Amino acid sequence: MAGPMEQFEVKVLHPMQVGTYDVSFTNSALWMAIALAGISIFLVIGTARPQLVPGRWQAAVEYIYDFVRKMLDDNVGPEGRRFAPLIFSIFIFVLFCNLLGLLPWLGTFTPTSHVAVTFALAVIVFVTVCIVGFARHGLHFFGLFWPQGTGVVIGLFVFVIEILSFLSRPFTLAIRLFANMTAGHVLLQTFGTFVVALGSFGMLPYVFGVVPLAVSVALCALELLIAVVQAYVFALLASLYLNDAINLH
Amino acid sequence: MTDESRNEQLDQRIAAAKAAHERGVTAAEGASESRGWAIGIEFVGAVLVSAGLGYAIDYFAHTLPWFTIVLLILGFAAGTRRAMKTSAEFETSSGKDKKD
Repeated sequence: MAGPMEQFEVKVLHPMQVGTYDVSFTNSALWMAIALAGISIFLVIGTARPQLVPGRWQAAVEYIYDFVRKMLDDNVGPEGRRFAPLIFSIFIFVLFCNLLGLLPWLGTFTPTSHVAVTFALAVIVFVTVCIVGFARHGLHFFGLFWPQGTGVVIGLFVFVIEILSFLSRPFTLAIRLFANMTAGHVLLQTFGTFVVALGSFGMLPYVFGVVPLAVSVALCALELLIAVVQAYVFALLASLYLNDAINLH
Repeated sequence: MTDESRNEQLDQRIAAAKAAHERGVTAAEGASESRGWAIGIEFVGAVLVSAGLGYAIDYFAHTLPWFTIVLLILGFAAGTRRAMKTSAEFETSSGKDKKD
């Protein structure tokens, strides 16, 4: 029987090499590509024939876009709308990766359960925040870290702490998504194994097997919720970080 | 059986049914659980990143263990700061949701 960690194994599907770098096409890349294809189909169908009174597909696309735009309006203000494409892309990519990974087929893979993927996404956000901050405010961007109305000694102390907390952002952003997805999939796999193991146990197979099965069903619902909430939290924190860079305070 | 005892029994059954109904995890509870984890991860992340940065400085400057110690302590401060800030940010953003 497959161990709980086997589902996270990256398998090479098509070996490739550029120079000395291994850029093989893996199952992780395959599922990211599937997510991308799914997003494209979803958005193309939703915006193919736009009507004043939206149909089902159009309404779904518009709802998600409005959701992201409203999040930016609320947290960043009117200037945040320029970043709606970025936040929308990140949100829908994480959402599709999370949801596709929950499909119970053999060989489904959740790219967002790997730090390499989530950290790359977090670095995109971090670098954007730095570029926007320095482009808009120049060296005043460092004012974000300097406390107001304190002496030089305390100020320096707080400055270092603020820099450290700023630098920790991409890591926490990446670890949160990765940890949530990994933990959820390990739980699902473990309880799924329990169903089989306890189902073939002793004289009362059905009695013992039913309990972990019920837990598995409940966990599936919870994982579906977490998949959506984590995509939302990722986008929400990205917009809050952008807010810091745009409106220094 | 008197009316009173039957009423009492009914009360108990209603209470039991309500408790059974509320035991399931609601969507709001699930969302706040993720937010709670989010704050914990902010703290741990800040400490780990600070300690790692301190170790990197020490490693290249050959000053082990001084920067690791100092940055680890500052990292705890930074982690507390981040945890407080994140919870405040979540609070304001969910407060805004309610207003609409």
